[in-house]
Amino acid sequence: MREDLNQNLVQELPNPIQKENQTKGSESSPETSSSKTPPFLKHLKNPKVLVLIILFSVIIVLFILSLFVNKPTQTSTTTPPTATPIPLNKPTSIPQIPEKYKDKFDSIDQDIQNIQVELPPAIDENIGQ
Amino acid sequence: MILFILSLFFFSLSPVKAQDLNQYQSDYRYQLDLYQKSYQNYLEKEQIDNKYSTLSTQKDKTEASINALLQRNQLLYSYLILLRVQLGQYDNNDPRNNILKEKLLTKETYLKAQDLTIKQLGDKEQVKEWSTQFKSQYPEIQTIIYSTLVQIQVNQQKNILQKIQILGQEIQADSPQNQALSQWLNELPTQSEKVTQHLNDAILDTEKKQTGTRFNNFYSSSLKDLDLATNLLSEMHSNLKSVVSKFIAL
Repeated sequence: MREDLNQNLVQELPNPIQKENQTKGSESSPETSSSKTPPFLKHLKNPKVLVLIILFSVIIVLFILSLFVNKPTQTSTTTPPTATPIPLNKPTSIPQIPEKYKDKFDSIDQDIQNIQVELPPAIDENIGQ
Repeated sequence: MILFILSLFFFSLSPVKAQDLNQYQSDYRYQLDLYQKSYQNYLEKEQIDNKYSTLSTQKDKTEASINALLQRNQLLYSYLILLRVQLGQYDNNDPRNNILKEKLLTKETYLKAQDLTIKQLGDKEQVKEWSTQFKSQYPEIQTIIYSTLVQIQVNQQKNILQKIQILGQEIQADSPQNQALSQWLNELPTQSEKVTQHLNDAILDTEKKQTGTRFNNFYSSSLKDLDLATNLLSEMHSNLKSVVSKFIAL
């Protein structure tokens, strides 16, 4: 009884070699169909070409996104309101110097601003050693 | 050579115009540019020689070092001339001006003579020998350079002090009856003395003796006194301005 059952099971299960042949046969069919596709589409199967296409499309998408991001928005120019008021510089009275002395004061002021010297150049003392 | 020294001496006596000073500044900057380029080239050749060390790379390095030494020499020469011209801008009868001018002239002559020596250097050993000899001379050149820098600033500040003093006297002479103004102007000599003291202290730092083979830089110490003097001068100028605008009618 038990042997009968085993025989039935063996009959129902397909032969692994036959199965392999069947799968090989099914794979060979697309090859025949691809020979009919246009030659430029053949390159799509090349992984390098695919990677290049993906990279190129990513760059285009990033470029388009950057165009939107770089657009100046109104919110960036506005300053947030502060809780404390900013003190304004009050106009102060500028001391008036008599015209007679004005040039002399300006000349002294200019001289004070011009107190400067040309510092020595940085040189390498060890050239040729 | 004597003619060259004489021409430099006569040049030193002639008054310096702003246009002349600008010309010497341009010359100095041009030499600085040439030196930087030749030095960069020397560093590149040295790097190549360290890597490959062939006869060809050694020759290239020696040639590059001779060129860099020549440009460095000419740069220092043009810088010393510029300093001497700046020193001659103010005629304030300070004997230190003439002493420094003479020292600068001596070093200019030395550097000018070195141009020819550098051009005649042939091999690596000669370059090394000359370079060592120059290195022993350089601290003395540096001492003269920094002493001159201090003296130039002292001259500039003395000139300003003199202008403030003259202006103060003029203002007092114009309003002899103004008591408040006179009271304030009487403070000017005291402040002037303080400025002079700081300037003298700045010069004293330059006279410290150099010890050892390396240059001990005194410039930062002098600069502190020079800055104090500048601040006092600014204060005097600002106070005088305020007093004039307050006590003298337009």
